[in-house]
Amino acid sequence: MEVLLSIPDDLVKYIEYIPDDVLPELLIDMVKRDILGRHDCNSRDEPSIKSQQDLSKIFELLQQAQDSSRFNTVQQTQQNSVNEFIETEIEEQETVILSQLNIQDTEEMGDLMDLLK
Amino acid sequence: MYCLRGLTIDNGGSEVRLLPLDGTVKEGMQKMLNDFVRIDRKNFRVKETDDKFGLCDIIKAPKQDYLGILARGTTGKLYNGESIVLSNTKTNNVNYYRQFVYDVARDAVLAHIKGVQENDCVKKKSFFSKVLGLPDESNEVIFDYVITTCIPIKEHSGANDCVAMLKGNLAGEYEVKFPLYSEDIIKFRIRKEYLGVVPEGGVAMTGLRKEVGPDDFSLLVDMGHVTTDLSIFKGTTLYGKVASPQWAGATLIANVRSALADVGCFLSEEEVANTIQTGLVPDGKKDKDVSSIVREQKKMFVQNYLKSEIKQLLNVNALNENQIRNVVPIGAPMNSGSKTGSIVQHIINDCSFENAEVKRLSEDLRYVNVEQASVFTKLLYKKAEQEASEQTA
Repeated sequence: MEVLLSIPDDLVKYIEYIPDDVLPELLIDMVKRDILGRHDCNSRDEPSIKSQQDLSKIFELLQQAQDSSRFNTVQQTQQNSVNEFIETEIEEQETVILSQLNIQDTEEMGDLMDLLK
Repeated sequence: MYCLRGLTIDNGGSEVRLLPLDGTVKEGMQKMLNDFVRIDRKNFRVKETDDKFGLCDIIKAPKQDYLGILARGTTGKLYNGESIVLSNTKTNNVNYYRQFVYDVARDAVLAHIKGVQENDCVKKKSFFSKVLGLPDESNEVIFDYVITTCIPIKEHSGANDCVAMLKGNLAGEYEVKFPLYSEDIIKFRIRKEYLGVVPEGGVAMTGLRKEVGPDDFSLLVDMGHVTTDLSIFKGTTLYGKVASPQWAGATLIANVRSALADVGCFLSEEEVANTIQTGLVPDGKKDKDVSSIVREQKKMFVQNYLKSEIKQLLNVNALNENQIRNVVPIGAPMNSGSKTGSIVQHIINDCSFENAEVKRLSEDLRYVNVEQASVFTKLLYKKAEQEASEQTA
């Protein structure tokens, strides 16, 4: 039996935001429903089975879900209180007083001459 | 006889900055509080004051509304004048133009006193007049101004042609007197083709032109006294929509003033503005340290006002915080002290600009706009000089 399973666009787009303990179950559920649904399929066209390729893709996603550190980031963000913020040191750029540079002509300004009206 | 003069003007809600061509921010720039009053001519009489240039009588101007007596500072306080204030929209406000005329007049009278008329312009003109057998008009000097000024980015780039309105409202011949100083009449003219207008905040991109890639997104936060202008640039080009929430320096000052009053420190607005920078309140012989209050208020200002506006600006322009490469702070409240904290730091943290660098374009962030705009004044002046020498030839 060939099973052609297409992953919904929404799932593909937001997969990184789905917690890793939910994603495997979600995908398995999709596969199960699809297979069970096709068991009752009355269509004249038998769905072609590329089960090996499709299932490989699914397992790849599952593997990524378990390994990906993005999920850890999502979990961490969800756990943090919204009132907390991360104190990070931002290195400020060295101050350069650029207006003191000797600008010879408008060509040096390039597109910035459009600022002058 | 026309005598070229270059001037950069930043007429802000709290302070006016006049940077002559031959001056720098540290030396030569005039800074004045924006506390203008208009005095009824029938109520005027000469009074003693330290600032004799604090009162100007505009006797000839292209618009009737500009005529009259303007005063400011300690001189203005000597008279019962009507306070003239700027609104959050400059170019359709007659008070903005009145102040502008005063700004130019003040520069002109100082140039007059410095003896510009006794230097190159007059001597050369007088010499050539004699050689060519022409009437010597060197005694009458008219200052021919080359000016660059800044207006809010939403007016500079908005649907209405505010720039054309500004030029149309200011171009013309003027005659002014400073009666507390002398009876000399100072003459100057402003020409449309040598009146350059650049966007506040946006002009800062001139300083970053070699530091940003063409696809780099930069967030400019120009925190003035009346409005905070938020804009995004892609490379050096304005990108998408801008925002100008009316929560700015005045709001911060009011909040800090209120918080200080709660702990028994009652200060004027001017004193609070100073406290925001220093974290100290004068208290007899020893200053009182209120830096923790200032730090807290800066933090709350970003959380309560700016954060949502910045997030909304990103959404409207279909950007996320990770795409912002630079945050460019402008304006007095953006100056940070080691004790009083940093608004730009709170913006970085609260808005999660983890990939962004802070680009400071001046030692004192109050002067970013006037410094960067002066680049354009120099270029315009060069063009005017060239035209003048071609005409002489």
